[in-house]
Parts: sequence; structure tokens; C-alpha cells
Amino acid sequence: MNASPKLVREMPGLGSLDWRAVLRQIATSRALDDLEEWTLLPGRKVLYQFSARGHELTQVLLANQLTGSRDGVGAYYRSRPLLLSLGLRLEDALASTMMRAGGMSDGRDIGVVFNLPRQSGACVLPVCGGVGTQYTPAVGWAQALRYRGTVLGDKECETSIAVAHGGDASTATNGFWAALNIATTERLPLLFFIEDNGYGISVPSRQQTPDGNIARNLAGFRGLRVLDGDASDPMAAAALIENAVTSVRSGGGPTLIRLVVPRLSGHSGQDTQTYKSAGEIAAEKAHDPLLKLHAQLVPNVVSAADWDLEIAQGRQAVADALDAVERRSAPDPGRVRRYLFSEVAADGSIELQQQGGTYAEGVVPSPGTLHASPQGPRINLVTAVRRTLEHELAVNPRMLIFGEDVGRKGGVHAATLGLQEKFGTERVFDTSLSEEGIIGRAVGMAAAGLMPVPEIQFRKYADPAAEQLNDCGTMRWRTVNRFAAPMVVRIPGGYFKCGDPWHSQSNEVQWVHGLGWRVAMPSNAQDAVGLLRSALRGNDPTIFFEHRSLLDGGWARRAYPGDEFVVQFGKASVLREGTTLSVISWGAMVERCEKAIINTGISADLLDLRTLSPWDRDATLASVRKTRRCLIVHEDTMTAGFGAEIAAVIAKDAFFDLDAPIERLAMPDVPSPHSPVLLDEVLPNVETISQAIIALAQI
Amino acid sequence: MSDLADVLVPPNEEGTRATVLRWCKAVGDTVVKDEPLVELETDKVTVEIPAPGDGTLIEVLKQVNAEVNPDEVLARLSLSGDSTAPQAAASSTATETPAGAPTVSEARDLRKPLSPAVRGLLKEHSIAAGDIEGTGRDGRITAQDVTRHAADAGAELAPARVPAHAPISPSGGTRVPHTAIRRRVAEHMARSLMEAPHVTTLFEADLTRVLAHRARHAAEFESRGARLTLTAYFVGACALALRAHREVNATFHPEALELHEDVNIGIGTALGNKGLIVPVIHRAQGLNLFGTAQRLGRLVEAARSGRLSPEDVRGGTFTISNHGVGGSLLAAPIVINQPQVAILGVGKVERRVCAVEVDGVEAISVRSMCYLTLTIDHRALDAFQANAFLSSVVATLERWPADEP
Repeated sequence: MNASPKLVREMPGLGSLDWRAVLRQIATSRALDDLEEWTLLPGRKVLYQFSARGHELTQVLLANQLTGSRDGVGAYYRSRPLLLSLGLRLEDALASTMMRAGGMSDGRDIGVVFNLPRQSGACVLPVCGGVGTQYTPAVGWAQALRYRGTVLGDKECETSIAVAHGGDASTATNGFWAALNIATTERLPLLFFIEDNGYGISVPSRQQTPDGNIARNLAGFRGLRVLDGDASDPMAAAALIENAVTSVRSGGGPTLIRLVVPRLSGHSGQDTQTYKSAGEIAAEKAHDPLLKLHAQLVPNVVSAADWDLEIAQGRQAVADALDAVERRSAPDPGRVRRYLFSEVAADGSIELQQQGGTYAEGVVPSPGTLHASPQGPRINLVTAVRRTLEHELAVNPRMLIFGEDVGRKGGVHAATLGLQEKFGTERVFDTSLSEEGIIGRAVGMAAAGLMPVPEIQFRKYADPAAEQLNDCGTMRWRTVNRFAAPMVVRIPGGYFKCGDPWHSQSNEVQWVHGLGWRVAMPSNAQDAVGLLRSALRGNDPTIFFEHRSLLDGGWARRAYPGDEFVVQFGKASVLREGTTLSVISWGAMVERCEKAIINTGISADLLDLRTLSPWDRDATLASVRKTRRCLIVHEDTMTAGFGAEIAAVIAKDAFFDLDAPIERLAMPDVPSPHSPVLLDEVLPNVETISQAIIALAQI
Repeated sequence: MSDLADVLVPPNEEGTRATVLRWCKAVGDTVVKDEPLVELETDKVTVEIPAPGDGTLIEVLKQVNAEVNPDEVLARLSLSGDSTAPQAAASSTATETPAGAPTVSEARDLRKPLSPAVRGLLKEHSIAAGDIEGTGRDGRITAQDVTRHAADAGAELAPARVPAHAPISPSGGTRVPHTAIRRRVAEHMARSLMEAPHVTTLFEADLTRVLAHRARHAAEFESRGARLTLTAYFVGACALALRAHREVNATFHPEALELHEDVNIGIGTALGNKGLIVPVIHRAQGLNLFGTAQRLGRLVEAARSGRLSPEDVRGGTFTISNHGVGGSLLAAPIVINQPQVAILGVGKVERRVCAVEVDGVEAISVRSMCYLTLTIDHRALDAFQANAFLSSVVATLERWPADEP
């Protein structure tokens, strides 16, 4: 139906909307989809192809509203029209799908896994392949906006918003519900922008939510404003979108807008949509928003000739971009190993990511000192951690601590006792019971220039957060140093007076094998201070393991080494030197190893690795080359525990120096048992370590 | 690592006795698991005893017709397949290999594997694994065993392993532990002097003609692949003289003098600080100068690069010591290389002023001369044979034909 000029003028806010520009963006996006689907994919120049045909109008309209200088978007693989409208260059979009050098990932990721770093203006957080991963990082961005506004006085954040952009099927994911809970309980400036095309690949939306309408089902959700619309009425959709964004921007709290759009192509280039009937496909085509827009704009708002001109210009722009990209080389294979972690250039300066963490905004903390200045009586490890957190909170206003029970209660292990009272609820706060949410929002906060310090209450409960943790670790590599998310995830774990499969897990090797994470395993209070401070002042995501039996353990107590004390990652501590064999360990086992060595009277090196990612290969190899015999002791289970990696490296790099096979002592391949009797049977202890030392010395 | 497996007589029904009927495999044979090793005959049946695993039959304890009882050991297998029978480690004799260079194939007891560290250390210190008593588990040679052996060879093994120290001597100096070569040389020299009464006779030789010959032929020899040294001439002259004076090419026994058929001349070769080694030119009597030069070249090269084979240092019947190349004019006595009876020392070649007779007129001449000393075992030889031999050698050198190759 045609909208009369009178009707257009009556629609609030639409008088200023540049419909030709909207049309141009849609035309460009569609031409790009055409090129890829019909030419580049068959020609094997694009291997993974995702069209946004049918989704363009709503996304272009959204982009038009994202005028805040600190707006941030969590997007997904069908967000290309949004990205192009927010300023992603056509050439970069095409270089990404055609796997050429440059683009958004220098050939490292699929072309529709977007990222758009921005100093000022709407940015797009690094998309991940997993559906539903975009929600809690968007929540984190929203929370960071509020933090920056209230705590850092960044006025521009007060009028900026976060957007979580997803499809209808994504509303069934864990991340969506965690984000919904957080956004509404915290009343965050977050817009859920749901494009409902009725399908998640081949699965219809009625299997994601009852009757397939998430808006109707969430209508009664407290604290959430819900809007429901349809892209087949472009004018009405424009008004609704403008309404939604303005509402969030002006402090109206979280809003969810659902817009029905047709998915005019398969899920991807590989999908032939045999699950849709011919009638269904024809109906979808008839609801093409471009057709509907033509009906509403031509000839009263845009002439037919101008319409055709915009379409043609869209095609031309895409053709020009293709020419430019065809001239680009393939990515340089020599670079593929780079940027897993923060890198240092030849002149010693850090090769900073464009966005994420405090360094990228020019806020670089003091490097600290490797020299310990112990003062006062010995304190236990949990007190040392608390004191370090307190000092770093005081000197770094961008740091914030959160997790389950860390605020009001002060943490179930008392590690954050008193910090909320001292620093306030904006900086030290409790979260909802969703580890996915805890880590997801930390990702968004880090992207927004903060230093988030989330706590996972017990090691095993990181499982629900595994996806967010993995994606955080690989972010720098996937975006070829355009984005990074430095943070410190504090995780208590390991055995205590008893064991059990849920609270006593160790399994630190999972994060050593997980790409992009640094892993700290302090054995004593002094190292805990130094490693924690080093991580809090660093530029990489770090796992900081707080062993439960060391929190108050006597052996681990040390005097506080000073407010500037740091320990370098990848540097072992040599606790004893000897001649007959080398004992390599970390965490709670170090104490037992020391006692065992003294017990046996055998002259041995004892190395406390302190960090497993990176780990001190040089010191380990030097020790083993000297003594020619090596015993590795760790609490984590034996098979594929980190001791296996150490043994493999020694076997390769010190093969000709070995006088005995490399020995490992670890928990057997079972979960931690609850009964102390059973626990004592499976954990390496002073007796079993002593026996292993003696046996190794006698080979 | 291999295991030994006993092959036992199985339990008998009703306590009947068995005798060994026939061995299906012999000592040294490879066997596979379940293969029949031996047949036992009882009152009732013939029983096949199979091999308990893959390996080698290394010992047969019950012969054919022997009566055997249940659980007795019939035979032993080495289960890894290695065919080395347990035997005493071969002890190297100082007379044959004074240098003690490690031989290429060591008799290796499979119960004592060599770790990477041990292999490296054995090679570094030129020690044979068979020389070391292992203190590791099951008698394994440990790295510390090797370093201690190298540092303190000959000392008693201490039961506890302690790292080797370098003790300070009373005068405040340091002690340098002996290498294997040094120990062997020390032992050999002392024994030789103790057993054989050494007596030395001194001659001098005019090498004018030899030098002239060498000057004329050196380039041609070089082009044919042999470097022509003075030593080749001495070897040639000695070979001739030893054929003529066979009692000098001999070994002394209490009851007899053993005269050797072949002339195998050893050349004492210095290895700098590492000691000396004596490679041997076998059957020197059959070589012309070119052949001698060629053989010499190969042996000296092999000696310098540590690649002499055991054959190269065995079977010598006479030895030449080129002490003059170091600048010495004369050396006496030179320690006889047992079990030989004489050794020739060649001093430095010098230009000396001599009194000569030219056409019946006495004149002064400057000649290229060197001193030759022959040290003999006076048990076997007297001055008479010594002087006769050395005269022959000098005569051969001083009358070297002008153009004989």
C-alpha cells in the first residue's frame, strides 16, 4: 500500500529520516548478497556465505538511530546490513568473506563474524560463532556505560546505549535469558533487537518459544518494555525502532523489540531450504521489505528514477569493492601465530589492540617492582589477596569486582570482605546466578575500557561459562589485535579438608590448553600478591587460581610484600637446589614436595612453576639437565594434566641429558572424592611423594 | 629391556616321571611364542613344551635322556630376541690396545640399558660400558657411575653415590684425574721395564741419499695419493733388516724365542696431550716404498681422528719411535712395546759437520745426520745382534738407490 505524503509527515521523527540513504544502504547490502551468492560462492572465492536478504531494512533503520558516541552492539552472523550502515567499509566486508589480507580478521575468521572497533561512535563487539553469545557481553557494555557515567564521570556514556542484536532462535539460548535477567534486575540501558524470520536454520520458531512470538511471551516480564512490529510496514517499523532506541537512551530501562522479517535466502549458502514449501517461499518473497519500501516510497518520497539510481549505485559500489579486493593478496601465513597474547614490538612498546582494556584508552598502570619488601607479620593467602584487591581498586578506578556473594557477604571464602563497604556497590557487587552472565558481561566491560575482576565461586562452576571464557581468550587472535578483553577471573578451587566433585576440582590444565589465557597458580601469599597484581595491571585475560587449602594454610603465609610488588608470569621460583633430581610442582602440592624432599634427605632441586601459561621452560630444562632426573607432582588428574606437557618438553629438549625416565605423580583419573579417607588415598601426599623421590633416585 | 624366561617342566599327572626326548631348537636359535622347544617322554605320552614367548634360546639345562621333574628348569630364553649370552665382559689387554680406544661394538648386557646421558658420557670420556660396574637399579650404569669412573678410575666403588670432587693436594695444587689412555700407558711402561732388561746401542745415519730420493719422488707420490715422509724410509729399512736378522722380529718366552713370520712394524704416534698410540703396518716386508707411504698415511690420519680399528693396533712385532720429530736428538732407553724384543728410536735430522774422506783426502763436510738408538730386551738379544741389526738399517739408509721408487 502507498503511504501518502501527509501520512509520512505525520509520523513523528520520520520527517528527518533520509530515505534515500536508507534505500542506498539496503541496495548495497543486497547487491553484496547477490554477488556472493550468485558469483563468489559458486566460484569458490567465498567458502562460507551468509546472506541478510530480508533483514536489511530493520538493520539500516536501527543503525540510523545509533548516534551515541559510546553506543555498543553485540551482533551476529546476519548483522551485515547493520555493520555496513555503522561504517564497515564494503571493501573490508568483502575482504573478510573472500579471506584476503586485512579486513576484520586478516583471514582468520569467517567473513560474517564481525568486529568494528571505534574510538567514538557506535562500535560492534567481536561477534562469536556460537549463537546466543552476543547477549551478556552487550549487557556488560550497558553496565560499563553506567559505570563510566557514574564512577568515571564520562558524560557521553550517560546518553549511550547497548544493543543486543539476534534472531528469533537465539532467544532460546542460555545467554539470552541470563542477559534478560541481568538487564532487568539491574535496569540497564540495553535494547534487545530481535529479528524474527521464523527459523533457526530449519527449526521453526514455535520450537524456540511457545507460539513462536517471544514478544508476546515476554509481555509481562517485569522491568522490560516490549515492542512488536513487522518489517513489511517500513514506515511503522521505522517509527517503532526510533521509539525503542529513544526510550532506552532516555533512561527508560531495558527494552525488547521484535520485528518480523522474511529470511529470503537459506540460513547459509549451503542451505537449500527444502524444509520450506514452495508456497511458503513465495509468501516470504512477497513480504520482501524492499518491495514494501518501494510501495511506500515511490513515487511520493523517492522518484522511480532515483530508486533505480540507488539500486544501481549500490551494485556499482559492490562491483568497485570487488575490484579492489581482487587485487588484495591472501593473508600472510607467516603472521598466523601472532596476537594470541599481547605482543611487544622491537622497541619494547606494547602493540596495543585498538579497543578493549584500559591500555587501549591510554590508561597504563605503573609496572610495579619485582623486588619484595615484606613488612609486618605473616598473613594468610586470602588476606593477601584481599589486600591486593583493595589497593588496586584504590589506584585503578576502572577496576571492578563482581560475582556471586562477593559484595554484601564479602565472598564465600571471605576474599572480598569489606570491599563493598569501602568502594561502593557500583565497584564491588553481587551478580545473578549465571556464570555465563558473569563472564559474558566481563567481556563487554573489558571491551568498554574497564578492568573487570569477576569471581567464579568454585572451579567446577566455570563450566557454564566455558563458551564465554573460550571466546574471550581467542578474541585478540580472531580480530588480529583489533580487540582484546583483558580481565582477571578469580577462581577458588582444589581440595580443602575434604574433597568433592563440585568444589574441589583443580583442572587448571583446561585453561592452559584454552587459547589466550594466562594461568596463575600461586603456592603462597607473597606470590599470590605479585601474580594477582601483575594480572590486574596487565593487558591479557588471566585466570587466578585461589587454592582453598592455601587460603588459610600455615605454610602459605607470608608477610605482605608491598603495594607495588609484582611477579613476572613464566618465571619459576627455585625453592631448593640439589644434585640428584628435580621436582617440578605448583599450587598446593609445593608444600608437600618440600616436606617430602626434606623427609628423604635426598639432594634435589624444587621448582615452583607459579604460572602454567606461560611456564618457565628454561628453568625447568636447566634443572633437569643438571640433575638428569625429574619428578613432576600435581594435584590435577594424571591423564593429560599439565605434567604431561612438561614431560614431553623435557623428553624432547633434554633427551640426551636424561639418566632416568621422567616421572609424574598426580591424582588418578577420578573426580575429587568427598570422604577425607578417600581423598587422602588419591591425593599425592608427603609419603607418596617421598616414595616417588626415593624410587627415582635409585633407578 | 629384555627379560629372561625359564622354561619349566610342567606338572605331571599321577606323578609319572619324564625324560627329555628331543630338543627341537638349539642354543642361539630364535623362537616364537608357542613354538615347540623340546619333547618330553612320559610313560603315557610325548609332551611338547612350547616357548613361553618370542625370543632366543640361550641356555639348555637338561640334555637328551635326562630325567626331569615338575618345575625343574629345562632351558632359558632371552625374551627380547637379543642373542647375547651372559658372558664375562671382555677385558682389554694393555699389550694389544695400549691406547684403550673404545671399540665399535660393545658386548651389551641387556639387563643394563644405557640411558641417553650415559651414552653421551661414555663417548665423551672414551670409556667402554663393560669397564664400569653399575650402581643403579638391577646393576644399571648410571650417569654418576660414568663420571665417577672417568674422574677416579681404579678407585674402589663407594656404596653410596656421592658427586665427584677435585681434591686439593697438600701443596695447594689440583689433581688432574687420569684418562683411560694415560692409565694404560702407565701400566704398560712400568710392566715392560720391570720384565725386560733394557739396553741401548747408539748409531748415527747419514740421510743424504734418502733426502735426495725423497726430493725427487715426493711430488709424484703425492699425485698418486701417498704423502712421502722420512718414516716410510725407516720402515722400509727396518723391514729389510728384520728379515735378515730374524731374532729381532721375535717374542721372548721363558723357554724359547718365538720368531715371527711377518714383519709388522708399529709406528709410535703422539696424540698431543691425550697420550700415544701405536698403529701397525702389517706385513711390511711385502710393501715397496709407495705402499709403505700409503699405509702410513692412512694409519696416521685414522689415529689423529680417533678412527683406528682394533686390527690397526694389534699384532706388531717391532716398533719405531719417531721421538726426533719433537726436537729430541737422542732417546735412550726407549720402552720396549711388549711382547716385542726391540724398539728403534729415530732422533732429529740435523745438519752436522762431519769428517769425511773424499778420494782418499780427509775433508770437512756438512751432512744431514740423525742418531738411531736401538733398545733391546737383553733377555732375548745381545749387543752383537743389536749392532748387527742397526748396522744393516744404517747401511740401507746410507746406500739408498737413487731412483728406486
